[in-house]
Amino acid sequence: MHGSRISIWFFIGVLLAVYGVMIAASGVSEWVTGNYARGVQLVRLHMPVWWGALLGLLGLLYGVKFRPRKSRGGNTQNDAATTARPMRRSLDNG
Amino acid sequence: MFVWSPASVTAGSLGSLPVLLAFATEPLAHLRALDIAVIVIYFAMVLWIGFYLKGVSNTGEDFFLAGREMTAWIAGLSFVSANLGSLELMGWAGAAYQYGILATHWYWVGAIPAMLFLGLMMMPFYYVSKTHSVPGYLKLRFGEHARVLAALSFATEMILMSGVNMFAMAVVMKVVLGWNITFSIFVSSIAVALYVGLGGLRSAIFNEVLQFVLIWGGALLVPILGLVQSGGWTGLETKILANLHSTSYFHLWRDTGHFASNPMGVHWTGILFGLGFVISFGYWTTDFLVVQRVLAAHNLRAARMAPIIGSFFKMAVPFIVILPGLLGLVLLQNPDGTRRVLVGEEVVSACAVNTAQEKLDNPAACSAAMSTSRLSPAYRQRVLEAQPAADLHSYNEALPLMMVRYLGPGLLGLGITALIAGFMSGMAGNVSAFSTVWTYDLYRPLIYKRGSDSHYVLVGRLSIMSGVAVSIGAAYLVMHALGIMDYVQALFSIFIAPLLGVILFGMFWKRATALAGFLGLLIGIVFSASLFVWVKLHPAALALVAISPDAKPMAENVYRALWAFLLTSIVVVVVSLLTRPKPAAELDGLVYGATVLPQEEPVPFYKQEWMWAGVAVALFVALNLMFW
Repeated sequence: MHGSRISIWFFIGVLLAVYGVMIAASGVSEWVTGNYARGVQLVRLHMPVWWGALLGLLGLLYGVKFRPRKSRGGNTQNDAATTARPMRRSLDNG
Repeated sequence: MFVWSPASVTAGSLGSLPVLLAFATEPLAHLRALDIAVIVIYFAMVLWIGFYLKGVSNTGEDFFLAGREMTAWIAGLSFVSANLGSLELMGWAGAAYQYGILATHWYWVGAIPAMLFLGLMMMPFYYVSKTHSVPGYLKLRFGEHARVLAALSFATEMILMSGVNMFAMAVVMKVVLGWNITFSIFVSSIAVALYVGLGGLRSAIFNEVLQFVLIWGGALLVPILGLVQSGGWTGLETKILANLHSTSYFHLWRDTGHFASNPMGVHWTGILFGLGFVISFGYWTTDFLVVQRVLAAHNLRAARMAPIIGSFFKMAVPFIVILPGLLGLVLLQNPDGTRRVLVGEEVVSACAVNTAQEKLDNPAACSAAMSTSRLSPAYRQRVLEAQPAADLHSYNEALPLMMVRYLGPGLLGLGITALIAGFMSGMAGNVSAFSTVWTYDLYRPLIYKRGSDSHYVLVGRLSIMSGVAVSIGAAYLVMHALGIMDYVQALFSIFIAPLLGVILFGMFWKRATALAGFLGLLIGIVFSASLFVWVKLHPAALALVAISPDAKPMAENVYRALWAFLLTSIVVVVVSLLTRPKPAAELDGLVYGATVLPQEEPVPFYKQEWMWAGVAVALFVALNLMFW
């Protein structure tokens, strides 16, 4: 996503970070209390902890890397997306 | 179970969903507070994105083409995500359970060659012609009549498909979670109307990329844990061989030499030419729903790279769709620990239990239906006795059952959110494409030609709102007249083959004329629809359409598309030779050989589209040989 806008990767980063924290926290709670969800297989692998941590880490990386920034002109800018402005073209064709 | 189509609907499982609804008793999953929180946060996020993007979607180009500023990665992910709906995930996981790895053809030969062809050969003309839609290209190449015919058929298909998607989502939420149908329909439609109405195509694309990430985040654990439990790929093969005594589940091509030698009842010629060429190329290169995503790219190189990037992700999708279906064959268990056997919807419906009397409605019909299934005699007897633990689940429930098996609190919410996101982005794709075609290909040329840019943006926003309202009506219509669903799904396969014929000749043959394009499209559509109705009224006609008495219903779409494509091609060629072509000067930017493509800045080899297309081809060939 280009231009003086918030990148889609920032939104995705925020969502993954929030999900990661929630899922990992739930997994840690299960691990500590030993109170696992009934019927779920392979609970001893503690996947919520590892998967939650992975999502959280990815979310954090993307959230930071693509965070909105103030440009000199005062606009919100996104670092990785600030390549050229888009080629504007007319919609009058076709 | 499903139609032979790579459409986002997979159109597949749709026809059988009402059966699931009618006979659903206990929901498959029970969500906890954490799972609900995950879902609520997703809705909050999409609405945030919609409101945020409203401020940057004020011009026609912003609203309908996302400002044409998407990078190749965003456009590519959105392109492939537009075809990765929840019904596709569930339908093809069920197909893999039923037919094994043969179902992978819809992801590989049924997609990859067409995606690469779009990027390398067709995108330059779509992009350089500066059109905003596929019907728009038809107008430039063949004139107003061809445009209006294509736009009318496409807009009708989109709005009906949106309604079918909406209904399907409500059914799945009812079956999996026990949610009320009307609640699901209205919550999803309000969310879609808000975020697409506010942010236009940009909002739809953002949410498709978000959905793509969620699907991988929510579904990837299922095959990973399944492989751990089954002892890896070798362990899975061993278990399937021990339980099902067949090696067909692991071969893509080996058993397709005859219709009767594989469980799908397909022949390799049908897969290669019908699916791999006509249907696949028709869908991936002419369906505006997917092409619109690539048109939003910020330059020609990005537009060409987007489908190539998408092809790599498309090749990976079977890992989260086909593999869970295969794993389900040996890992799903009944409450007593025995292997659970899934059945077709006809068996589920034949074995409906009268809950008041706690016995089967029709034991004889149930017994007859079960005789064709893989259920053990002991389990059949328990079903006939209507024992509470002897419940039946259909193939389409393979993926949700695998999710419930491996995903605990939070992770299950993420998996369900991925399904919801898939449905909602499917609807958003339908209504955003409808809005563009309605506004620029129908409203502007036929109703009000002299509007300002802001006028057409307003019309676009209103058409999204009204499109969603009509979709809700279509959803309830389908609910009360289930037979309509078959016809709605058939629309896709009826239109694409003629459209492909016309666009290919238009793009690669300078001699093709306006009248030939219009007549080819019209006659192709009428012929294709006639074949469909013929087989509907006289099922025996299938053997003629699919040129084999062993052909199964699934082969019908392939061969119908092939014949429609051939007839369209003949009409275009004959009529073109009898009519006067356009001067070459008028074909600049529209036809191969009459267009000078703009010079692009040189880039290192590792950024060149031809290099990456070559890598994709090599990977595609290697995968097909590996699973031959």
